[in-house]
Amino acid sequence: MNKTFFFVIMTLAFIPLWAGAQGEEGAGLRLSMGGSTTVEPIITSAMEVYLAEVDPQAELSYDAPGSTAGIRGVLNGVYDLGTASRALLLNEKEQGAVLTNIALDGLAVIVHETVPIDDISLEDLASIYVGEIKNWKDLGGPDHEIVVVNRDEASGTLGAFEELVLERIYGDDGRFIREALITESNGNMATMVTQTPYSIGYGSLAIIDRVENSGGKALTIGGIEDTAENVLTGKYPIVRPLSFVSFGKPEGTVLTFIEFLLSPRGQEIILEAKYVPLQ
Amino acid sequence: MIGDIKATRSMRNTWELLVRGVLALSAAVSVFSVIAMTVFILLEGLPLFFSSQGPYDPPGVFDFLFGTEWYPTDTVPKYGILPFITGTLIVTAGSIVISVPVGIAVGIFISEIAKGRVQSLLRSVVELLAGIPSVIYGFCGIMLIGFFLRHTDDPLVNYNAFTAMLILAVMTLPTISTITEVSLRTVPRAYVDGARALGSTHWQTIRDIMLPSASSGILTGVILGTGRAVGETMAVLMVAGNQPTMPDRGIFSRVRTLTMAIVNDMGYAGGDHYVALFSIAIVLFVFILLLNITTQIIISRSKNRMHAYASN
Repeated sequence: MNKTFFFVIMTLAFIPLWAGAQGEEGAGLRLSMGGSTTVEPIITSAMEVYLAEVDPQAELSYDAPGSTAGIRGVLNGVYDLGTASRALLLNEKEQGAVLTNIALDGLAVIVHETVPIDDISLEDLASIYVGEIKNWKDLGGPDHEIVVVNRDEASGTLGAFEELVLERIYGDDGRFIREALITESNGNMATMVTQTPYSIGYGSLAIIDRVENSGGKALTIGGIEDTAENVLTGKYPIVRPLSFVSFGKPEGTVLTFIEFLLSPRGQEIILEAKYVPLQ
Repeated sequence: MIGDIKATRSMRNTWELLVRGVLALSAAVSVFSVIAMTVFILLEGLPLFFSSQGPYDPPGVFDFLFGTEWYPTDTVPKYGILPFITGTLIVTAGSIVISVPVGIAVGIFISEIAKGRVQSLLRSVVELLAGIPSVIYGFCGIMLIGFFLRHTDDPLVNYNAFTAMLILAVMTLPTISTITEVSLRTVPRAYVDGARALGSTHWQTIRDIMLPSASSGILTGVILGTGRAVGETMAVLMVAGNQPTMPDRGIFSRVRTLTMAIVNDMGYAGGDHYVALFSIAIVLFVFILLLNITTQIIISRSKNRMHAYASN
């Protein structure tokens, strides 16, 4: 009895090895990818479509620890292909990271339903995020502390917000307020802001629907609404590209997948994910 | 005939040896893992204090442990982890304050008061509680926060240390109650019978005889629960607010614990910042080590006491 049990266990232990050996024979495109949480919905559906319509043999994976981690992963060789929702830093460029843009995104500024404001200027937004404005009454709202929700340091969305809002108003002196709730993904930002009274946060254009469904709203910036059209024409002030990150110029399997996303079918996927295609 | 017996015997011996070998190997693997991890953490984390990878002095151990400012990405970075240590202490202490009385009460109830089906049902419910993945606790925590924020004006349950405490209390409760129950069951029957024979009520027997003689076991449970609370990451990450500053509103502050600090920065940290995360791991390691040593001391003391009783 014990013997049988033992052999069963040993046999079970070898199954993964055997299964692994089987996997080696797959002939399709193999890519391990990772990076931005903002780009995650695009890549997730792109992988599904690619498997279903282009290459059923393909082995694709994506994890989302954030843009900075994605770029580092590509430079360390952990990922074949990364994604980023911000521009590259100088040292990342020097180490050989190359961006290929696949979509545009207008950073939405979102608030809880308790905030009676509909519009904000870029200056006031920056002031909130450096901590100079701390009460909604300074912006004509109720006398209540502003609950600032920010992203983690690994986030490309944080990097883009810093570059496009804080640095535009404050230059290099713009530093994020420390008294803030920190959330670790673009999707979680929507949950936190729509849950927390008197809170403000920011995220990709794609979260606006979710925010509005949960009772929150997106603010217009200087009267301009965050829509695909305003992003494409550049009227909306906080626009950033979403990109693939490769080590050196993309080639081989990496290029194949990038080209898929730049193809009409790929750009359709981007539209379905509520981001803005390049054209 | 004799040959057959010999053959089976030698087969048995081979089998015996094989099993022993496999068991010894498993034991060796676990010991080796602990040693390897300790060495690895120390090798990766200690260099922070000896050399810096940038044009600035390495932080001293004192500055690291008692510094209140965490600016790991500045040109002259500051690695003060007191906010995280304080966060861990607040959240752990708070959760233990809640889960110890409740856990012990649950343990007593299951062991001494509940009978039959109620007892076995309760026991399996508590075991189930222990098996729920922590991310699910975190998720429930977020739902709870959402509920409170929607329905009350100035909610206690928000993204803060207090909510993390509540969640951790539920998570550590099974450890404490299960060990309490087991320790109560090992109290010698003679003690209980003696107390009852002298006219003690059921509750008096539990309070004055059973609890004191099970105390070392219960204490061990409490310490194991504390260890779980110190090391818990996912659930607290989801509800504690993750603000890297000194807690300024007591138990209602938004806090970042040691484990949260590691997870939060792991993805992007580079250079000294990355090393600093391992230094945080050393601090956590020391915390857990101290807790385990305390458990060992308690267990060995109680064993000595048992021997003393036995020899009297």
